Amino acid sequence: MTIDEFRRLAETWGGDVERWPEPLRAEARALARSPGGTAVLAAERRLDLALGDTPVVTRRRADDVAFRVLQQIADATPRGRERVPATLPSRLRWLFPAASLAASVLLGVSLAVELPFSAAPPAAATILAMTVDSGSMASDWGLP
Amino acid sequence: MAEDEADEALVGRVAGGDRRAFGRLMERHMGLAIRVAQKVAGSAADADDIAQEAFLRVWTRAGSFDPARARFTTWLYRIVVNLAIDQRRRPAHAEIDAAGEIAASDPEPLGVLVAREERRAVDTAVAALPARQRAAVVLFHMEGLSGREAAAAMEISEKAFESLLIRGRAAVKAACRAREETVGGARDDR
Repeated sequence: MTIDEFRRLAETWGGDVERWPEPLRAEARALARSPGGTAVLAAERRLDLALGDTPVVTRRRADDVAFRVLQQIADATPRGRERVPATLPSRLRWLFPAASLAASVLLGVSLAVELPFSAAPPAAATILAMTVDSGSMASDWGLP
Repeated sequence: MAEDEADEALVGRVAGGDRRAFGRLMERHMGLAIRVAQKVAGSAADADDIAQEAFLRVWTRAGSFDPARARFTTWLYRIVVNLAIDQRRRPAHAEIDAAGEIAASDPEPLGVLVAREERRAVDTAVAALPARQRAAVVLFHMEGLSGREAAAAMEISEKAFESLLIRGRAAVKAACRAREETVGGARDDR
């Protein structure tokens, strides 16, 4: 590998030889230790740092988007078409949607009483309501 | 459901309609979907919609996911990048806000200001790249994927990915250099 080839590779893959394609690394490591190679990598590393800048996504924001997804799925599921546990005897199956609805109502009332008011819906609580509605357990969400 | 159950196993459950497994996947990867969408689409507002649509696709298409061919995250990157590129191509996409605003506050050390200014210049240059070059830069540099993984996420060959990456980096450098010269020239004129 010549220093020009090394420079071109650094301009492509950046200043960290360990992130270059595996077959190139052994030769590149040797050149990286030379004064010319060190300077090439240092120049590219500065750009790498700026390009690696990551937008901060808060947990709250991610939860809000997740809630919107669940809401859209729930909206697209006709009432009474929720999945019924296979273990439920067929004569009791009609109870499942009714029990699911009753659980939602109870949960909604208790949340309204217990939780402080906020303009935006509390994402964790609403997700909890969705999951109870769909027959899953609240403990699976690890909520406080 | 085990706390550390692999993503790929969870997708299998999602294919069977398991909302708890789906919730676990969103808990793990919604942040990834939003930040990649934000960088590639160049808009925070669009990013939330893209991430939402991406997970709806995970829900509806989980049955088509093949764990023997790719990891779940590679599949998710692919969905998000494709949606973000499509969004970006729409003529009326929102103003670029990736560079963000600098909030007024106490004076900061010169070094911090210079570094921040450099990052803003790079952000602006990245936001101006063609969508596929930007996606290549985001997947490789921001997400830390290898060339092979990023190429798989974009459904292109490693050679094609290399070409996108080198053109992307070169364009960012050229834009930053041009900006430096403009700023330097303006200073000299004073």
